[in-house]
Amino acid sequence: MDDMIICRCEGVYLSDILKAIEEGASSVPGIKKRVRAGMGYCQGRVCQPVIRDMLESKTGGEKMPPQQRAQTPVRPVLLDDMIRR
Amino acid sequence: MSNTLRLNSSSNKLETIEFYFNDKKLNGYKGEPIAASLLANGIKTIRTCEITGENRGIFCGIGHCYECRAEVDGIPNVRTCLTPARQGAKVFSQASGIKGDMEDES
Amino acid sequence: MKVDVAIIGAGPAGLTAAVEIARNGLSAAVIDEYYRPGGRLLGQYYEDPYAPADQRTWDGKKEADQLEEKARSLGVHIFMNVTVWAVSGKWRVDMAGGDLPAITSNVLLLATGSVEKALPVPGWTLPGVISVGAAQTFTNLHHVAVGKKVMMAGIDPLSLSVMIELKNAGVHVAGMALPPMSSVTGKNKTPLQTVERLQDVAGLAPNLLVRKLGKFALKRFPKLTASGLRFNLLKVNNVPIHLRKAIVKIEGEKNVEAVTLQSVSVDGKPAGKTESVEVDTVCLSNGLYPLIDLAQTAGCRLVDMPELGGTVPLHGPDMTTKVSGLFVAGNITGIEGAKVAMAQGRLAAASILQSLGKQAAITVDEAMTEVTNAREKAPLRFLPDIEEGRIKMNKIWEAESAHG
Repeated sequence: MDDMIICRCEGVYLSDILKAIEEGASSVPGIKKRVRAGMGYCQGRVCQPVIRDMLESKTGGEKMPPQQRAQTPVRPVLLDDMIRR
Repeated sequence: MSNTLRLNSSSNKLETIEFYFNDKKLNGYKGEPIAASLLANGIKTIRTCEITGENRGIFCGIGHCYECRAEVDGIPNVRTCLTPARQGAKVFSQASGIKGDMEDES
Repeated sequence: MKVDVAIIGAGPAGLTAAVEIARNGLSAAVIDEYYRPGGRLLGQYYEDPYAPADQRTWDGKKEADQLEEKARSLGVHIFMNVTVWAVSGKWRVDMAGGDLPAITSNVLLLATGSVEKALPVPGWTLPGVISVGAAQTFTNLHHVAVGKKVMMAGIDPLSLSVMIELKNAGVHVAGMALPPMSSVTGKNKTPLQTVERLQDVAGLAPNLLVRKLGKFALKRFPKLTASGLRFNLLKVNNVPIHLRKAIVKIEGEKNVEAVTLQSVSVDGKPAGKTESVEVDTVCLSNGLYPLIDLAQTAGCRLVDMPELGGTVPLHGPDMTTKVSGLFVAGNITGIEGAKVAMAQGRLAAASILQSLGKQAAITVDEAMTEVTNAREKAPLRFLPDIEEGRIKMNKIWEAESAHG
């Protein structure tokens, strides 16, 4: 299959993620730290399920590979909105 | 309205507004999200990706993917799929180098 | 502003819960990012063959309008185009995009719904490639054609239903095909699995045409042996359904210009021949998963449960969680249709009222029965093992409760 973008926000390609898995990434945060997948505007809402399935199919295992922990703010917000707080 | 992609089921009783996309004057229906007005005008590219430079447009349509974000009335990163335009609203694509390429069809 | 109950999500679950709470004398606020209340109801328009004769047409927009009107008439505060970016304390809800920076409440109900699962295909970032949910929303709610010639990837009850909606609205659908078989996740369906899945939902699909397709598939392939699946083309509403072809690439310079289809064997192996079909739009369909990020930041334990569509907050059959004052309802608990979500909204409201020592018009037990009934009568089933998933979740919940 042709290479293709998996993380649309950060422009991370399938090959980047496969390489990260080869290098030992075994969780969504592990992939994120290595190649920035899931770090963009949508905060992994689009690519995380795909990456998790990829990890599962590559690394096997009984349990699903760990996913990222949602953090506040859960959506990108303007600094103004945070200051208003 | 002359929007070519309006469906027959679309109401003709709605109030029309004018807004600007990258300085070009367009029509839309009052109350509908900007992304819907843009698509009705045949515009599919809303911005370019800051990292890859590729064109991007509507993807999820309900605010999760942020692909349709634009600057609206001076506020950056507004999701156009969620946000209706004001009369006279000024909408700009984000990132650079897109001007001439934005026209999908006319 | 302070209310008794803050509800995140103005979909069928959140609005129904708000109505029920306000009707019983408590104050409620509903917050949603979208510009119009209704959530996924807004895009829904289909025939429900199992509903009473006068209720066969399910017009989600009308349902949404009625719920909104009811909620407003009962004094529910509805904040639209407002994004919740944090929940904390017990409870503080931080908001962006509106006039108020935050509201506080005694109880928090998360009815945040679901997100579509991405279906990566080479070329899927091109403008003109959209999710099937976006296609539904733009067609049925905004009445704007998503394109002049549309190809759909992913053959499932939802995409078939949306295909028919697109056709009914006058949009040209060039065909439907399978997602790439050499999937990055290994989870895409082979032709065999696709047909089996359609058979599973044959009696439950949202309109007669989809049901026909399911029955047709069943009749034509009574034994789904490898040699049995020898057809190339099936047509529904005159749209070719390519059960033996997969979309392997979306082509175009600045927009979608064409898709490349490749023949695949019954078990999903590429069978050589490729062809290019000119289209300007591609709709990708890969199902939904629960949106749980606020539940996670609120301290709720998460459970991986593929039967429910992904990772869901640990919750009881009465929509309570282990976090005091935190409740859930709707697709955040598992992917099901609007009627189930509404019943869950009522159930969550009954549980909330009970937790606050209020007499409710409906008891928790009655409301739980209503959820089960709605599930049994659901016209569209998204997940084949949803009941199993619900039972599993209840078991985990009971085990956790036994430990204290």
